[in-house]
Amino acid sequence: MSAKKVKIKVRNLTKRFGELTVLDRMSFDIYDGEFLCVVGPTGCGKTTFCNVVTRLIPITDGSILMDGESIDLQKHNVSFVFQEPSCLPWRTIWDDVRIGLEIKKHPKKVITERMDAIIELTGLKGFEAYYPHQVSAGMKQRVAIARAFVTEPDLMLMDEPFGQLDTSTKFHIEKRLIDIWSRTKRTIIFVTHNLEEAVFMAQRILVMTQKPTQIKEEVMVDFPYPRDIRAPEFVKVRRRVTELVKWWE
Amino acid sequence: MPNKMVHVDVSMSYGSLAVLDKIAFDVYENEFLAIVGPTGCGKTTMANLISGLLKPAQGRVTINGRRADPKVQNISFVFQEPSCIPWRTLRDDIYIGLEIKGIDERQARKRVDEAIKLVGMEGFEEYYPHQISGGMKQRVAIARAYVTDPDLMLMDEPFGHLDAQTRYLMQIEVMRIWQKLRKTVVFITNNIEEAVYLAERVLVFSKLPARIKGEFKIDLPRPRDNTDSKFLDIRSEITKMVEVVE
Amino acid sequence: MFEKKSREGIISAGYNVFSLVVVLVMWTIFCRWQNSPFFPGPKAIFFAFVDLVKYGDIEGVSLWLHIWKSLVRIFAGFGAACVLGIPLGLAMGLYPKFYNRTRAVIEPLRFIPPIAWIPMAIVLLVGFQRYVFLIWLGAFFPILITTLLSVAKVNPIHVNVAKVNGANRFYIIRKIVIPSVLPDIAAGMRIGLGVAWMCIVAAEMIGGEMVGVGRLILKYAELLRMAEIIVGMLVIGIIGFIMNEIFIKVEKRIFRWRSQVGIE
Repeated sequence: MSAKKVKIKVRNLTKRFGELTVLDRMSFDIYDGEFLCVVGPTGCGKTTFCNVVTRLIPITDGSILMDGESIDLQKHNVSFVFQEPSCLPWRTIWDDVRIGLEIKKHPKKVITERMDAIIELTGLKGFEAYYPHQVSAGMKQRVAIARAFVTEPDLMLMDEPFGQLDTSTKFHIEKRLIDIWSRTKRTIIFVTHNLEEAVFMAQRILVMTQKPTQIKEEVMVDFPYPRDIRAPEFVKVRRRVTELVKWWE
Repeated sequence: MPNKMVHVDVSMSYGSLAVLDKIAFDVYENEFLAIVGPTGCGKTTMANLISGLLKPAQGRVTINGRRADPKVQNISFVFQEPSCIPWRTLRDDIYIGLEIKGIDERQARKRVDEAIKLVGMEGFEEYYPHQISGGMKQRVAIARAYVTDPDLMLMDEPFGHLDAQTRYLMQIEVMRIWQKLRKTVVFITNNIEEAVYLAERVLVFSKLPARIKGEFKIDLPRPRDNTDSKFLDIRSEITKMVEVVE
Repeated sequence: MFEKKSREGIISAGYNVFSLVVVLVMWTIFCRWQNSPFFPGPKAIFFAFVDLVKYGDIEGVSLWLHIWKSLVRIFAGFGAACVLGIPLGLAMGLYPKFYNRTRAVIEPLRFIPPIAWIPMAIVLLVGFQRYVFLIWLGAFFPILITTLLSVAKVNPIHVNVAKVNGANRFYIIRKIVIPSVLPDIAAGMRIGLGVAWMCIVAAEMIGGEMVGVGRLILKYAELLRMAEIIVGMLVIGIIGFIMNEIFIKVEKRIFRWRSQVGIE
């Protein structure tokens, strides 16, 4: 899981909206197959960060290179799990999860294989014919996760996907996510304000500053999964990250 | 021996759907009580029953010996959804409870200013809701709840829509204010860490139809440290009890 | 929970019947009191209706033919309004500059009531065209504006779901925008149909033919036969009501997925 091959090189990533600089010369590496968490104080431009890294909005300056090339949504596989529920209301869960494969025009056989696997993995079996309005919030996020994984992305970005779920649902879905990640070995950037969640899931945490946002520090989280939030090492790292983030308040 | 202020002994259903099943507990004067449980387990219904906004199907809720009724007792409610009135400035918004109760204007204005200071919103009196953040809107809701000098405060997942960090800040605020004024508070949340941070006592509700699954007394000194081992132990015990498999 | 719903339905239906009865009774009393030939009571109206059905109107034209002719005209005009209004509305919604730069032309046109177009329709058009034109005018603008505005309401997250997978603009319009806006377009169409139906009397006033529910009313207006006039009015009202209800039911069926947001 920690094959230290650099998959994505971010150099001097800058985003300006007119006079306002939101992201300011951010430079960091993302390793192949890692689970990277990005945290920061409230208002640190994390949504802009997510949109820029997934190329939904253009960069003002700098570069994001995957295996040497600029990330291109037509060519590379990028997935995004949004903060808000993103299920398409007019599609069944099956059709929703399938949409990435549909857009990328995969052959039917591939689609069926991958779909069966991911539905099983995300625990959505039996719900394929349901519509989003018929299922719970936790389930909707599972659909978004299934949709993100099924295209076998080179890079997956998750923007505080569990923020609106209640505590027990959150714990369960976090554990499930780690499980799916360790099986599929995807490269994941998980952005959150919830520091406990970050320490619970990440192998590495990048701490962002307030706007204009830069990378302040990197914290390694070296312990095995599943993690115990009560373990002294966990508490130590959590306190460290909290100190780093709060410093800027 | 602290005074029993609220006595609850109810069952509640909507049509054929049983929501609360023989729920019985007391709330003591000046205590901070938290109610936790899975989403949709009837906690909001419980809050509405305590405030008297809903009448129980069976049993009753009494406050200081009399049936709960918003027209009789002085109860404040802080909701999860931002409840700021869009066309009122923050000052006028906080003033509204006093306006309804017909308090003398000069007195009222003074209390509003005190409430604004209490929640740390000095300087923002003339702002409109659309100009401020979610956390600030909830502060206004809290100010509005305090300004009427209520006997009882009900808070129903007030920080549910805030991000994790703003939420922590608000918890610290609520604690600070409560320690100063010592109102009786019933705080409903599905965030167990939040409940353990804030409350002296935590009631755990089960899934529908809800019963009281357990009760925890939290004796830790304030301000509490959410990474302290005793804190984490209690939190873990409560989490296990609430556990709902998706 | 479900018995409650159907119980509510029965109670509601009961109240509706009761309201109708009350209106009829009050009407009858009022008529007896006025005792004027210009204000017929429910009984007179009922008999006028029966006569119209049995023998047709004063020229022998059957009631059903009137209704049929009107419906044909409505659906022609309405159809034309949809065919023009929906694509145009979509185009303007997708390319806001198009709308913003043509507002000086569109908006004033929108606010000219169909009736004001009658003189022009008489001069420039004949026969069936006149009807279709006026009815089209009634339906076109509601459909256009609703469609246009619906595009702005598309949830950007849904667009991003497709975008991040590398979808091109065409795919996004086809598979994200259109399913998103269909319920709103349907609602716009329903409103447009309603307005079009209300233009029927105006249209048939100036149209050449002697057939149509609007024409029916006018025939009897010349003869001051109130009972038949009222029958005509009620026919128009009830047909409009039925069309609306059918539309709503179809909407509810097709857009089942929308039940999370309440429709109407």
